[in-house]
Amino acid sequence: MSDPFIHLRVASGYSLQYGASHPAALVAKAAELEMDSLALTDRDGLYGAVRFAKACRRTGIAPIIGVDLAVPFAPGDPRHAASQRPSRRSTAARGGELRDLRLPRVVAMATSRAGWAALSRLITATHQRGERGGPVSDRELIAGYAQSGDLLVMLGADSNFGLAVCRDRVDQAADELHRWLEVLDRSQLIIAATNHQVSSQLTGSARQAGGMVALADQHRLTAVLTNQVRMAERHQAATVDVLDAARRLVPLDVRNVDRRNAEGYVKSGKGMIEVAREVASLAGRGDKGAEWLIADTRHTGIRCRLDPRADIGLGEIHLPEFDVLGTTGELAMGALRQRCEVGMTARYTRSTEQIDNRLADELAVVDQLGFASYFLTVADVVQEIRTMNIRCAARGSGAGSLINYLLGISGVDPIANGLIMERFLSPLRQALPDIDLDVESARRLDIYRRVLDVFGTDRVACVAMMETYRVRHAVRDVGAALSLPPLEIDAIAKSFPHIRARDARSALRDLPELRAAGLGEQRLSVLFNLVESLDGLPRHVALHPCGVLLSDLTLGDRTPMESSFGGFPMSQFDKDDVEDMGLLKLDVLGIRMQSSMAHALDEIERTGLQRPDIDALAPFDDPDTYDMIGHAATLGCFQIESPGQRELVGKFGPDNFNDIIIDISLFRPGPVESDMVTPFLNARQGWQQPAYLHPDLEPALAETRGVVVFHEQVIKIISVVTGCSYAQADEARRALGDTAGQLDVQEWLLPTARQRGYSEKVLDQVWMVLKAFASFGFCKAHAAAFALPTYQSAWLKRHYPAHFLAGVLTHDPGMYPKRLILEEARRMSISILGVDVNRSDGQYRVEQLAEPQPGVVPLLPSGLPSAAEWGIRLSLADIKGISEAEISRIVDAQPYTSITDFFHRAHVEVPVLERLILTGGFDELYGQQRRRDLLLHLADLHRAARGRINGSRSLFDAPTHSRADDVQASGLPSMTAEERLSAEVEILGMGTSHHIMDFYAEFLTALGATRSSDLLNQRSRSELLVAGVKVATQTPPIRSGRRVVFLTVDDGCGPVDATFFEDAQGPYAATVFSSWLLVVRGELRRTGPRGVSLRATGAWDLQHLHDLWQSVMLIDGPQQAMAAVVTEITAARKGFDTTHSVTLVHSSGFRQSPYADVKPAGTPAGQAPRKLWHASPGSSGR
Amino acid sequence: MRNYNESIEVQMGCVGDDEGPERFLWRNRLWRVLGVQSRWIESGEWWNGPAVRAARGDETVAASSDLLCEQELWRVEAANGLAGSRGIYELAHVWSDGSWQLRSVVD
Repeated sequence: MSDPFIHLRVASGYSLQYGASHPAALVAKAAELEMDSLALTDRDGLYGAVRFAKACRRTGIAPIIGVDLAVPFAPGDPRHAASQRPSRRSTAARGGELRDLRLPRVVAMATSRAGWAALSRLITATHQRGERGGPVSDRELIAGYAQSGDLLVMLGADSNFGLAVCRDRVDQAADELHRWLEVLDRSQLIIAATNHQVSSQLTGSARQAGGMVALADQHRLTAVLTNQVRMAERHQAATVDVLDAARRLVPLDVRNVDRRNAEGYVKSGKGMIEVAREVASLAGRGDKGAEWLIADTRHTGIRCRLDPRADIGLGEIHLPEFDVLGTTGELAMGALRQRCEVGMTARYTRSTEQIDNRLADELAVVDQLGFASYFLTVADVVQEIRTMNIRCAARGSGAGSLINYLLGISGVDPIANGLIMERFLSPLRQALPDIDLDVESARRLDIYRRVLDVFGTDRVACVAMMETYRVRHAVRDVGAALSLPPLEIDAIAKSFPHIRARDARSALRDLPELRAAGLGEQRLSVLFNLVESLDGLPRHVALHPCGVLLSDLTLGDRTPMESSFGGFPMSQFDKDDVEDMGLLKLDVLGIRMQSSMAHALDEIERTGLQRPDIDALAPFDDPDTYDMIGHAATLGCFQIESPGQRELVGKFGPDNFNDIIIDISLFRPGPVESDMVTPFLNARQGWQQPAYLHPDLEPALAETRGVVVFHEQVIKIISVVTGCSYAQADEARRALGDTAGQLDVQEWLLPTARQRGYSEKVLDQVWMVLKAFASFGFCKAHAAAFALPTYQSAWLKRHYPAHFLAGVLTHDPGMYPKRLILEEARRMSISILGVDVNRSDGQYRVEQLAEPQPGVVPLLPSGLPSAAEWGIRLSLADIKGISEAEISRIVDAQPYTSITDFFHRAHVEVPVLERLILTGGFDELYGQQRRRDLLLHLADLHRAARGRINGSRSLFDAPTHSRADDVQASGLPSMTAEERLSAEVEILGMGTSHHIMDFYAEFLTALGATRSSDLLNQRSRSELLVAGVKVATQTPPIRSGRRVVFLTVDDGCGPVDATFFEDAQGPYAATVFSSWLLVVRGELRRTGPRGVSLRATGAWDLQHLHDLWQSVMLIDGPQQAMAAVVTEITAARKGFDTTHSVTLVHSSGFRQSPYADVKPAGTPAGQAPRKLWHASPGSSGR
Repeated sequence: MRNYNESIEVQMGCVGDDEGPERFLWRNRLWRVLGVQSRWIESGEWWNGPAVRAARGDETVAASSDLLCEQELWRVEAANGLAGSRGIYELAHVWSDGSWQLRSVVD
């Protein structure tokens, strides 16, 4: 027996911080109750509508979609007057009334496809007129979009009408109804009563519901019964309260939560008829009054049912109109063909039959699918970007298409690199292919503006991104709601790795460092229960970092739009939604490396050198560049700078472009897991003959010596053994991703191949490889697209080392903090030039110090290029607390003759100016010894300026000093080297004159720690100590499925990599994640001719050991001091079990720790707070 | 209104046309329900409950994990046969353990 009741008022989690259930959970609950229809009426938008419609389609429930909008208080409401006063909402509002005015609500529901369009446009209009984040609609606006008759308007218990009934003001309630009936047809106005069985003076009481229904009956309006659902199940009520508190930024209190009981869930029809009886009887309806109410509810629901495809538009495709592209539908194909032919002459010196055939094939597929305008659009966008002089590269499978190469979208030749189109665009799939563009991160928004200009705001919108609750935010919001001490909340949140909220308790079970912090205590279980209940609920709408929608003029009918924080029109749909809605999304990704390279190129030109064209480096065969890569000297280079990658390129020694493609593809979880790397390297080094599954497969597998690395190779294997086309083979490859699909493929592939004469033995092996490949492997086109900037960055580092690092320092593209890049520059003999008020600006600049030698930059023995003729000038932007306005004022008024001159013309805050002095900004004018004198003089200037302001004389009349003789010598001692370094670390976040580890040099020598530069000379398996500043921690997936922590520290001579396996994590993981200066004990492991790493057996906070050493030293002398430190290190840490955590098993059998590949606990190394170290560690007892 | 919050025993039965608390035993006397005035459902302030106080560190023992603390309130007219006993009484039914309390007497 199906349940005829239809819930018409349902808020999901996509009503931000209001609903407690995902749309899919609500649909599942309705299906469980055997309901045939369900509404979703989220607050302020359709953020969850596409997900909801898809969930409905899966379960066969008819979706009903509406929006729940805020409207101003009606004149009769006591809060009306208050809300009329000018808004006092300020950005500093922290919680309470200011965050949430608790305005009355109105629900509008779509009845058709036109209704969906009206709903979308109504939402867009509502967002346009209100404040961002607090959209308020009104009656005229809603009625305007309802004019066509495709929307129903529902006034509920929380509407102005309902509130008036609740206040017992029947007159005001009737007035409100009349106001609506003036602008709306009677058939479109629905009164929606709700009986939550709360105490009779509250909204949602039976008494209010009865009053509302009685008035509806009097006015001959349809009355329905809704349950104002905020959760799928009753037991989620506490979560609803937490959301109320979090939304209002206040602790839980009866004044701050909306619900009074737990009745607002997806109740069964039986439950609803019970509460309907009470309502009908209070409304004075006679016999069958309740049944009548339920029947009207169902009838209204049926009016609003939508068809996911016909009404909502799921699965359609909408490309820009042809006239925008300067062509017409009929001519589009011709235009595309013509532009490809133009590209042909630019890209190839002469065309071959292979190229011609490939182009003809690709064009035929595009024609068949009708995607010509898609390619033209993307080509236009790329052209616009290039005209703006912004670097741009295609990423992803699009690099496999010759059309993309010819149109200039991609920079990699698909034919020379053996890339196939079918992985990107298949005649068997109707889905829009994905082309992603990598552009300079610093100029991404300029591109958005240009695209908006060219295509028009009616056709273009950015894509939204729902930020959902993960464990850290959930801990913060629940903790605050429960009034836990802020310090404790912060400590708990930070101790978690970046995992899903629902895994909070399993992490407590699995990770020893969390238990060590006492988070496993029973008393916190209430916290973690609530944390898990928030899992995946949206908490914030943000602009997606790269998606741009390009559509036709009907875009506004298909998606509601709001304004992003930066003022861009933004669809309320996220990237998955827009794909389901068939909107053309172009991913324009801001890539910092592209900005870094652009900066390097600008600096090359600025310093008087010839600007190289790095987009014309094909065929990418510069031996000098490969020499550097083979030395693993790749810090700062795109994709190949991580510790693991440096180890791999060191062993691999790539010497052509295809090798880089292979290298990038090999360094993925899958290949590392399944140990594809070792056989490949063995064959590659000639230690082993490559093994092929069958001679027929040799052409496909030769480039990787018989090891399957690429998706493209899987496609070719399937195609070879079955004789099918690449397009069909790609479908089979996709099916291999899940267990059910694997069975289907197996049933088709094995018999077909058997018929073609392959032996069982061969087929067994082939099938094993295909199955194992299911969850990993890499699209070669994708890797090739990545390989281009990889090569370009390595080439720049090799030939223009100082310029390249200036770019890297300015745009900070990589995984390492600036400190380490600065160390790298020092190792390359590049001078680091301090901040200088006359030379520094907002970016890192290259300065020529000597005439460069002609010819190729020489390599140092370490494999690093040597660039002693160049220096890198630090940027003003690194001065703590300096504003962009101050930087531009300083730069505009350069040069300065004295500090007095600077003081009067640059107008910089005094603390910032002090920091400029302390970091040596005036050393060039006065010399390093006089920083303290300058500080005194600054104080005088400041006093004088204030005096002058008080005496109402302008600051600007001050005489300008022409020479730097304005500062009196005070006789103060100049700053010591240590004082200078600690000032630099504190102000710039990095040491420029020395390395931070220099502080500890004496201690570390006494301790016998090994310097990273000496590691290569140590015996393998010897136990030793290293120390350094933490540069990076990673928890990558590894073969056994256990969690492994990789730690990189830098001791000033170079990076050291240490690996913590599970046995060493228990006692030491907390130290590794929370300390910044570390001493690590470990066993040396050789990883290659030039590579070593440590298998760590312990880690200690360097600062702590150093303090201990110093304090004992003062009392008992150096010997006792070192003994104390040694005791500390050798004392075993007990009480840690090494229980083995859960492993995830993929369909291929690949095992992975659930904590692999998530951002680990603690603050990322790149964001180390400046003041990590004591400002001065003091004298070490000399 | 006087608040009591004392445990009582209740016998369910017919009150008027509906099912409800028919009789209750309070302070060793039997009270008969004459009619139901209103009935509603309330959630407790779980954030002040023992589990949350324990999480805040205010209390050491964590008690039951039911956070909803839903109670059904019955405002009834009742009398025990003695003169002057007739009045309005609020009875609370705690759903998690089925217990009843006499919450208050409305004068």
